[in-house]
Amino acid sequence: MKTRGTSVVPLIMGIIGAVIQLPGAVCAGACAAGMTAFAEKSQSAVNDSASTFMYLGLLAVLLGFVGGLLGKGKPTLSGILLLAATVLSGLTLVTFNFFSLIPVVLFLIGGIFAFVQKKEEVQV
Amino acid sequence: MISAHILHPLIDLGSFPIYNLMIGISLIAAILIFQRNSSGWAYNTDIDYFILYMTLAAVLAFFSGSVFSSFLYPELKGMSIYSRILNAGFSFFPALLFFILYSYVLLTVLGLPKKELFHRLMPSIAAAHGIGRVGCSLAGCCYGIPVSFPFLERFPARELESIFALTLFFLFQTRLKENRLIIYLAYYSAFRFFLEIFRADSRGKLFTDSFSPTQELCIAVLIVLLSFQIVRISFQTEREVS
Repeated sequence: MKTRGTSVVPLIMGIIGAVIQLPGAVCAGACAAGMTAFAEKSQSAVNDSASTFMYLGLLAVLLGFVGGLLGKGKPTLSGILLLAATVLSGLTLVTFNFFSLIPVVLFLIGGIFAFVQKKEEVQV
Repeated sequence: MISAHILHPLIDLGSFPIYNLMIGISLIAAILIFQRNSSGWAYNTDIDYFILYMTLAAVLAFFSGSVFSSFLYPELKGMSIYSRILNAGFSFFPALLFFILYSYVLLTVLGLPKKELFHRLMPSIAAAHGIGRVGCSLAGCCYGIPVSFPFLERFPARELESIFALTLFFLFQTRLKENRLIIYLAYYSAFRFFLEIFRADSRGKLFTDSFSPTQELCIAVLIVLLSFQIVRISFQTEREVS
């Protein structure tokens, strides 16, 4: 016997969050670069902060996307991945990248639904 | 910036990533349609993993299609591969062919039934194609040549393609129950070949100046399908005779 989820909400929230977070990740990198440059740091520091925040955003895209796809098959793992994506996209908000605000909300809703959705037992 | 980046959206939504959103919606629709079409099937327990593999193939195909189209524009020569991909944008037809190739290889490696799965997958692909083209209309890419029809500034190339794909989807769901992959590829290649004539965005160059890269791919696909059908029919006739 295997436990499966029944809701499509994690799938929808995960995928929509990921596709909107994709430009959000690029935005996070640009915003981080802008902020570091404004603080009159060296060029290497500007590049470092830009790539760090961009990779954080891209990792959130990957986790959110995979989490969404696993919404029915592996509800617990899906919830963990979507909540991790929420935290990572939330971290990029410190660069004033408000583009990521929508994915944060979507990933959070998806993550909560992945845990609280009605489950069913299926024969493998 | 190359002319491929000039946009003519139906509705101007500013910097909102409407194309991305429509791609996401098309992917969700494809998954839900596939889940519906696969209910009650013997392989139903593996459906979640199958969806994961196919999505992986789709994402890889998406990037491969972008890399392929980045080499079609001579104006982008000298740029880094990242800038080339960003400037060239996404191209559907190469990505579709890459997707079929990747998923065929993946299904062979995993030992899953290819014919059955492709048969069930085609309505999803057609629906995703139709919804994705709505994204083109809203984002403003893939536009047609200027025309002087009443209420129309440009030839509705992307809108016609969307209608075509959604019609195929409805036919797959209701009437066409056999050879869906061949029907989709053959009809779409023929349709797209003529639609390309009315496209005004930068098309790039593959082999010749007379045809666009997509038209050349359409011809190649039609030749391959025709050869495949001839071989299949000759084998069938041989078997019947023996």
